[in-house]
Amino acid sequence: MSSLGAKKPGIRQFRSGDPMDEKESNRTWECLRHAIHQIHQHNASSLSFEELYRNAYNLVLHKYGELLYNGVQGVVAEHLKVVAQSCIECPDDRLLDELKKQWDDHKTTMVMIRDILMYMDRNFVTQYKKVPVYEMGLMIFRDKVSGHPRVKTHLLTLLLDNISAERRGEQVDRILLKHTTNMLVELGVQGKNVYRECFEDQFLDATRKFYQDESKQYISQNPCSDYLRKAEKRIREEKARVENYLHESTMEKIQELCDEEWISVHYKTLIHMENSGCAWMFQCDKIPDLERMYVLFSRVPHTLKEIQKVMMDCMCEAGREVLSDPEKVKDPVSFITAILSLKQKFDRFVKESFKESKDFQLALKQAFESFLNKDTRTAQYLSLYVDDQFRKGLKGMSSDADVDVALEQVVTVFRFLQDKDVFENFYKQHLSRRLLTGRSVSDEAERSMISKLKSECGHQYTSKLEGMFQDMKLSEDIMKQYKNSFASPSLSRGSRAGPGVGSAVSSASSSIDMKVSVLTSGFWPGSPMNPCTLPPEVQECISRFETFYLAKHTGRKLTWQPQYGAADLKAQMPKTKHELSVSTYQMCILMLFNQQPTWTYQDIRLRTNIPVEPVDELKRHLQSLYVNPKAKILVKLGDGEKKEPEENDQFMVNPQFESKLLRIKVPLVLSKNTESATGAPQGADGPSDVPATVEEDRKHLVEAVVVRVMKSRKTLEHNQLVMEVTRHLTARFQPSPTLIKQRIEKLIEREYLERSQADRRVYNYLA
Amino acid sequence: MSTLVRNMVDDSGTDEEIPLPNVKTAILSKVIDYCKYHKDSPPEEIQKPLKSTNLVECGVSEWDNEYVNIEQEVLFELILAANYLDIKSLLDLTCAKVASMIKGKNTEEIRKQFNIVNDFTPEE
Repeated sequence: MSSLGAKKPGIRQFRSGDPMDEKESNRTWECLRHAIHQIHQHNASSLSFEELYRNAYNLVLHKYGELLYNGVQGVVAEHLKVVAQSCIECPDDRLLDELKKQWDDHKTTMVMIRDILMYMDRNFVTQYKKVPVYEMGLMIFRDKVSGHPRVKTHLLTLLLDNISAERRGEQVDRILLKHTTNMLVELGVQGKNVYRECFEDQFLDATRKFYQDESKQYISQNPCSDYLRKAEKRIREEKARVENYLHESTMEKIQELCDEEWISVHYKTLIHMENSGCAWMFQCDKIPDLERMYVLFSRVPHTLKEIQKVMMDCMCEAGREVLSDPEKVKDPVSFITAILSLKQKFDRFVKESFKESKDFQLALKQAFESFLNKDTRTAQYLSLYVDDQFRKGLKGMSSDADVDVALEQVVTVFRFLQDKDVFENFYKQHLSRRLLTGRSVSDEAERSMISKLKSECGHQYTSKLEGMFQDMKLSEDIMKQYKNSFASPSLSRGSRAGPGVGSAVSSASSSIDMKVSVLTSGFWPGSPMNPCTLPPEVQECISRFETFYLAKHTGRKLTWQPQYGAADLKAQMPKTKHELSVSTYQMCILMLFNQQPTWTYQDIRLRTNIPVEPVDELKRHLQSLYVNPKAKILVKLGDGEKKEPEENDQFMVNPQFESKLLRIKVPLVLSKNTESATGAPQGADGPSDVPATVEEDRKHLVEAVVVRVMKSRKTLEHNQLVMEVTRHLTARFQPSPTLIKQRIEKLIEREYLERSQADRRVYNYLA
Repeated sequence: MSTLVRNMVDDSGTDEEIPLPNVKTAILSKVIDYCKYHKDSPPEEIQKPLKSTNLVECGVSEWDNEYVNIEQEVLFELILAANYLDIKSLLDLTCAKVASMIKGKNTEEIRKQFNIVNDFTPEE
C-alpha cells in the first residue's frame, strides 16, 4: 500500500451506505417491534433472522441505538405486564406451574431477541454502559412479574408451605420447587440477590423457629439416644433438601442452623441427662450410642470437651472405687486386674466410639494418671502383680504371644506411674526372691519383661536387674565347675590325712548336696548381714567351696547370706520318716536337736547366732517350727498357751508328730513389720508413704542432678533450678519443690553451691 | 469464525441458505478466503499499540500481511464486512492495516492518504 495520490485520481470519498433519516429509522424500528411481538406470540419461525439482525445493525450504525434500546425495553415491559396479570389471577395452587411456564417462555424469547440485537449489545451497550439486552429482560421480569407484591408473597408462602409439608412427611413436587428456586437464582443480576431476599432469608428464619420448637419439645420427652437419632435424621434431611431443590449457597447456612438448634443449644442437657446421658452410657457400655453422640457432636467441636470431662470424671470415680475397696487393696493381683480392666474398658470407648481421637486419648491418659498416682502404693501393687504373674499366672499361657500381651498390659500401667523408682525398688526385691528360690515360671518371660522396661526407661534403669540374671547364670557355671573339681581329686585330697579321716571327710562332704549362688553385692537388694553359726557339716562344705572360688577369683570377698537360703532335711521323727523343706535358719535350729534333745531359747540363740536385730529372725523361724498345726516339728515346754518364746522356754522334738505327707514344707510365720515370704503388701503405711530406701535414693538423686545442672549453668535462679531439676527427674519420679529446696540447702552447707551476694534467689556453682 | 453466521446456523441449520445482502460478492469471497486459511490455524493476537508500521513486526503473519495489501476501498469494505459478520480477528487485522497507514504521518499526510476534506474553520 505505497503511493496514494498516484493511484486513482480523485478517489471517491468512502461512504458506508446511505445515511438514515428519522423516517427511515422509525420504519426500521417498527419492523423490529413487530418482529419482537411475533416472537412473543411464538411465531418466530416466520421471521428472517438475517433481516432483523441487519435492521438492528443499521439502526446502531446510523446512530439510532438509543431508539432501539429504549424501544426494546418498552416492548418487553408491555408484554410482561400482561404476563404478570395472568400470574396474579392464577389460583394459588397453580401459581408455581404458571410461573414456570412464563419463566421458561420469557427466557426463550429473550434469547432470540438478544441474538437479533447482538450487534447492539456489542457496540451500543458497551459504549454507553447500558445493561445488556438479556439481563435487561431478566430485570424487567423481576420487577414486573416475580417482584410484583402479590406474586412475591404468594410465591414465598407456597415455597415455605411445601417445605413444611415435606418436613411433616408428606410428598411434594421437588422438581417444580427446584425450578422455582433456580428462577430466583437466575433473576439475581446486577447486584441484587433475589434468591436470598425473596426466599432464603425467610426460609432460614422459619426453619430456625421450627427446629427450636421441635428440639425443645423432643428433648423434654425423650431419652438422649433417641434425641441423637432424631437430630441426625433432621440434619441429613436438610442436607438432602438443599441438594435436591435449593441453591448450594444455602447448604452451609442450613447446616450451621441445624447444628446450632439441635446440638449447641442442648448439648449440656444431653450430656448430663439423668439415666440416659454420658455417665450412664459409660457405665452401661453403650458403645454405639456414644459413637453416635461423638459423630454428631463433632460438628460443633467445642462440645466434645464436655464429653471428655464426663469421661474423665467417670474414670476417676471408678478408679477411686477400686482404690478404696478394702478387698482389692488387700490383694494386689485383683487390684491391678481391676485397674487393667478399667483401662481396657475406656480404651475400647476411645477406640470404637471416639474414633481414636487424640483429644480423647489425652483425656483418658490424664484421668488414668491422676487417680493412679493418688495412691503411692500402686507402684508396689504393680510389682506384686508382676511377681504373682511370674510365679503362677503365666503358667496357663501356652503361646508367647499371650505372655507378651500380659506383660504389655503391665508396661502400659507402668508408663503412667509417677513413682517409677518405687516400682524398681520393689521389683528388685521380688525378682531377687524369685531368682533365689527358683520360683519363676519362665525365664524367657522374665527377660522379656526386663527388655520392655529397658525400652521404657533406658538401660540404666534395668542394668542392676540384668546384673542379677547374670549372677544366676554365672553361679550355675561355677557350680558345674565346682562339682567337676569335686569328682576326680577327692582321692588326692584324702591323701593328706590318714586314709580313715580322708575317707570320712570326703564321704561327709559328698553326702550334702549343696547349691551356691554367688551374688554381686551391688546388684542385689538388702544389705549383707553377718552369718549365723552353721552346723559343722554344712560349714565344712562352705569352706571347701570358698577355697575353690577364691582360688579362681583372687581379690574377692565372699560373705555368706544364710537368710536367703533353704534346706531339705531328712527327718527321722519318732513315728515316721519325712523330708522337711525349711529355711537355712530353721535347719540350724533343728540340727541342734541332733546333739541334745532339749534346748532353751537362750541357748539356741547363743549357739546359732541367728540375728535378732534389726528384725527378730530367730523368733520368727523358731515359731514357725512349733506354731503351725500342720508342721508342728517342735513343742514348746513351759507356759502352754503363749505363742511367743521366752528366754527360758524349753523346746524339744515333737514326739507326737505325724503327717500323711512324705515331703513337708514348713511355711514361715508372718511377721508384723516385714515383708513376708508370701508377698502380702506392707499394710501399715498409709497411702502416701514411700519405702525408706527409695526416699534415701531420691535425696541423693536430687542432689546429683542439682550439682550437674549448676555445673553446666554456673549461675541459676531458684525457680529455674527447680524447673530444670524436675524436668530431669520426671522419668523416675515427681520431686516436690520442698524436697529440692532441702537438698539445695544441704549442698550449700557442704559448699557445693553458694547464694549470690547480689540476689538471694540466685545460686552460684562452687568448683 | 463469524458469530453472526454461527447464530444463524444454530437457528436454522446448515442446509438453509443464509442471505447476506449487506455484503458484496467480491468482498464476501475475500472474507471466505481469510476464513478458509485460518480455519485450522487461528491467527496471533496483534500487539496493541502497534510497534511499527511494518505489520510483520507486530505479530502479523506473512500471509496476512499480503492479504491486506489491497486497495483502500476494498480494505474499507472488508472492515465493514468483518464488523457486520462479527469476525474479530479479521476486524483486528484490517484495522491494524489502516492504523499502520496512519501511524507516523502528520495531519496533512493523513488527509492526502484518505482523501479527507479539511472542514475545520481557521479557529479550530
